[in-house]
Amino acid sequence: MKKIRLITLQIILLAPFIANGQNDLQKTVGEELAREFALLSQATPPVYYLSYKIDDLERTTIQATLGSLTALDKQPSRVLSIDLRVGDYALDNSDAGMNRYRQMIPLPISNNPDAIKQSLWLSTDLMYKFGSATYNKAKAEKKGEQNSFEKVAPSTFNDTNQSTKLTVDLAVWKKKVTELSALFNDVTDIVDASVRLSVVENDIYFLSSEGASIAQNQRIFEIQMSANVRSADGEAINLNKNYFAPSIEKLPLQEVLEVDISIMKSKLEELRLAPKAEPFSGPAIMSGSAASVFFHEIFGHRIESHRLGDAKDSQTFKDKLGEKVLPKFLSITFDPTIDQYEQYYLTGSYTYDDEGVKAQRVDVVENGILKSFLNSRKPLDKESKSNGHARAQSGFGPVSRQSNLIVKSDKTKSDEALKKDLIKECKRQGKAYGYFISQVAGGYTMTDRYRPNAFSIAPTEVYKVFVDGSPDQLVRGVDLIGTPLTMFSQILATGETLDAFYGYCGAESGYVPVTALSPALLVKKIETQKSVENNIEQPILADPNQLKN
Amino acid sequence: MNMRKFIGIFTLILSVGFSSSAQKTLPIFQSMEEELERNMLLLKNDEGVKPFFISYGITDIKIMSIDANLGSIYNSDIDSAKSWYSRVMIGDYLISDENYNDPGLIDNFEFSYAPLPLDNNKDGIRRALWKSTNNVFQTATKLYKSKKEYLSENSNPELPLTDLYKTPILKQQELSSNSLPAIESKKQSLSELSEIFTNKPDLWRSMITYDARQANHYFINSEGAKIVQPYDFTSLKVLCQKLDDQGQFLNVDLNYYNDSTDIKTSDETIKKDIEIAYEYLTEISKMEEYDDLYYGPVLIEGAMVSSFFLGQLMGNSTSLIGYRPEIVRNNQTDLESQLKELSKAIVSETSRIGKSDLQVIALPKIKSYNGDKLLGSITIDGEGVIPPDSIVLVKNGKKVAELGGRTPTLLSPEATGHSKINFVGLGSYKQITPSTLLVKSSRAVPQSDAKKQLLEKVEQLGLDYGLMLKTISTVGISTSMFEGYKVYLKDGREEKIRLNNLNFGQRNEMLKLALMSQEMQVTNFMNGQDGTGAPISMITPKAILLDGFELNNTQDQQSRKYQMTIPSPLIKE
Repeated sequence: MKKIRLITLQIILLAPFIANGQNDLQKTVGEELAREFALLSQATPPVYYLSYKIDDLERTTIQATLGSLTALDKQPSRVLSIDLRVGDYALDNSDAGMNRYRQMIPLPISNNPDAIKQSLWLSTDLMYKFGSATYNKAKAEKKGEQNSFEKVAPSTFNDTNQSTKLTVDLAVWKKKVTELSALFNDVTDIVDASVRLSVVENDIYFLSSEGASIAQNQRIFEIQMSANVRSADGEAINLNKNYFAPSIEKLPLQEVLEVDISIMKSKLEELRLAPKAEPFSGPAIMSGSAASVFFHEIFGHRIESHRLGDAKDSQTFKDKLGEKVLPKFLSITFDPTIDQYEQYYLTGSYTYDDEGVKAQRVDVVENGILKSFLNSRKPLDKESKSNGHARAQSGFGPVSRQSNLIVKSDKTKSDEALKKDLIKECKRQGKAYGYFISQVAGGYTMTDRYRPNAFSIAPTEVYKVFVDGSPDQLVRGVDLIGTPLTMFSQILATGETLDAFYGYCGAESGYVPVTALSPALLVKKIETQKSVENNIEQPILADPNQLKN
Repeated sequence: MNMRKFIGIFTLILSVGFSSSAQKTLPIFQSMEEELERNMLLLKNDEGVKPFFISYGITDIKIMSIDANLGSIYNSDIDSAKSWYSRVMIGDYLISDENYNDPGLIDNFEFSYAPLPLDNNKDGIRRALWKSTNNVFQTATKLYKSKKEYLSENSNPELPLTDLYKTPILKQQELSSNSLPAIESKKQSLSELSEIFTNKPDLWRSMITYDARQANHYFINSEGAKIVQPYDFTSLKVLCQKLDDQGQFLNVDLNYYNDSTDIKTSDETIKKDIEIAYEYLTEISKMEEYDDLYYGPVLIEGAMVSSFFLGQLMGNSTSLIGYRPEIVRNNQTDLESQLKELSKAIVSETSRIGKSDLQVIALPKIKSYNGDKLLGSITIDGEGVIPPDSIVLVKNGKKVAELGGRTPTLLSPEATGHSKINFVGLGSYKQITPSTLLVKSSRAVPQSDAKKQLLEKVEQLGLDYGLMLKTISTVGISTSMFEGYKVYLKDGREEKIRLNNLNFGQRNEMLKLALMSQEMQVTNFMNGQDGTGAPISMITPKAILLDGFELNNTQDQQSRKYQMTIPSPLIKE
């Protein structure tokens, strides 16, 4: 490898990376980026693109379990993610598959220019070694005519809402979560129950050799409540409830949480005694939150374009642009540009994506017709352009990911009418009952070609709805399974109002916050299987705390 | 089983340092005692099997971690946790569920985790202990039943070792009286200390890593032991790395330890050490590597000597760490063969691990030696056992005893009180770990004679020169900073050389010891990497002469080389 010397080009190239309004950190990073790029672009093989993303992060976690404090952490950190590309836009080292997986590189948490520059220098050099070593492999493996990376006009953005980080009142929140978690103490056969406050306050900086200089912030305030009970037959039954908000003030009040815990406790008691369900095939209603997970898993992951460009992927929708993929009364939009929709706060929002491209609303399905994919700067074909959906957890290389998924319907019915239609459909199919899937914990899907192209959703609250008018019956131990194309063709109608599912979606580029909004769905036929049993033996002695109750 | 009756088995109750102010029951102890008593009284399975021994250990830990470099803070954190363990035994002291394995049972073991509260919430502590006691008991009953069946199938042979030593019952309460330093002022002082690297831009990487711990370990058992002891400790590590022109990495680390919640060494002293390390790296990076083959004597001086003995006495066949082989129920080796092997090992002559002048003695309790602090010293181990004042481990070159806890081992006829509490971050665990090891020769010579004897060996072998390794002396402990010399036979001239890839980790290197000096030194080490584990103190000769040292400095150098593509941003032109 040719070693090159510091040259005057540095001075010439420095200017584009220094923009007005930059803070000390951005200026330091910009200077080192300019120096590194000036030198590495002259190396053999040359670097043609270099970006630094810095997550200047403060996480606060306070957790209590059954009335005692079990986690308390408040830690600042700075994590560097480097995108270094060797070759050119037409062909670079990322085609050897080496650009997705990167390291979480710690940076100093104070703004000392020498320390920051030294960390950037050491990490960039290492990335260059990987990049140049894999560039030849990429050349040998190159297939197709699409470029490795899309060239975009650089953006400059400084979030005017860039705020100082909040000081969470630890004493107040310790007391709150401890008191809330103690409310679960009197639940019969409680195994575990915790309440957790998680605060993520992230100032994100992105600078690139193309001249991009972006500063934006991410604030996520979350309360998670989780409880496990042991059923009479020894199975662990879990219920969760999460709340997300853009500020700590907008989290639910203690009184609201207390009411929700009371509802959770009643539901846990019902579930503890509920019968296990047998495998089932027939009609069902999925509540709005359950349908949100359904669309996220089954549809959303199949329109992430990087996946469609992978020959190992099943590429369900790759050649279906302009074709009908969903019932014509359904439309789906991904919109990271808004953080509120109706009454719902949206967590999959951002101003610029993790490749420095402005976030865009993407109408992926209009009246059942597939219109677009979620794109990053890795082109799927000659025509495709990034629509600002490259996302990544700190330390991971970005790929196309979902943001805020919103399902809209032209064929809506009231909950009551939907239930009537469910019973009608059951009768038509000769079924004694259908299912109402009220709450789900999450799900997963497989999109590769080596395994069945299936999905699995884990409901936590499922009811049998009987055709003879008997009261609905809560059952447990059910997983919703299926394959995407069959399931989409089974959607008959939707509810009138949206409901939300919040979560952190995990995929190739790590975990990113997402929100999905959907109305309830009436589905002609679903299939369920027994869920994995998680049995816990009854302890020999009684819980020492329940002895007191 | 009646608790009172059970405790009555032991008549000797020791009470050490039990001050009147500490006599009121601490909240952690109260939960431990209540749950232990309840389980000893009531816990039994459907077949009526009950535990005969329960012990709980809880370590209440608070740590402060700060990384600093170039006048900047890379990371800072204060964190706390309680780590704990439960030991629940079925059977009796002679035959219990322990020291036995049945691979066929592994799927039936109970595992679950319940976090201990950070606050001293009594209910939360009891709950965690209740769950873990239940799970350990369930597993222990299965193992015990299997073990008894296996022994019964083989005519219940007499086992050569019991399963648990009886020890005196001990009560002691001594809580840490220290607190962690104020984090902001500590960050400030470490940041300022790390500024020393700003005028050393040719270093490839540097870092100061500071970890301070304030901890108390609570221990009770069903025999009546009740102990709380402080485990405060601080380590500061300075890392200096240089990349030489040949692409070779050169590393030096300086380690400072203290058994309190801060380092006592002054910043000025640390800075002086860093300057020494920097000068060393600068000098050595300019030297050509010694690329010859060498087989002959080597004279070693300084902390490297302690490191050599620690490596030899902790690892491989010369280890002084007691090992208890398990009886395994499987098809490969029948019980008779397993017991035969075990008995053979116990009754066989003790093994030679050094020449007849080598003596190794554990001195667990002494706090200092010739004014140097011995950080490895202990008064009570993690199982509530007071170690003896001294244990002769190696006598005239033969291993005659080994270090252990309450589990009987081959060369430990009684509990030797070395089941020490080790630490990794916020976790703690028990592990057989040396305290202080005194290594000496019954034929020690003055250090001033060592070079003469080196040359005599060189002459005997017909060599032109012998090798000498001198550890560079700093206040911070470093075994990676040493000067290598060729010492010529003809005139005794010392020629400095650059040596890498020294390996003293071969088996039975102590059999090659040709000389140990009368002058002694103290070096404190940690059992684990990067300041983790538990401290171990070594009192060793300042110089040793090894025969038959092999150096092949030509192997596989290329693969570890690295070249920076562009110069450091810290080098201003």
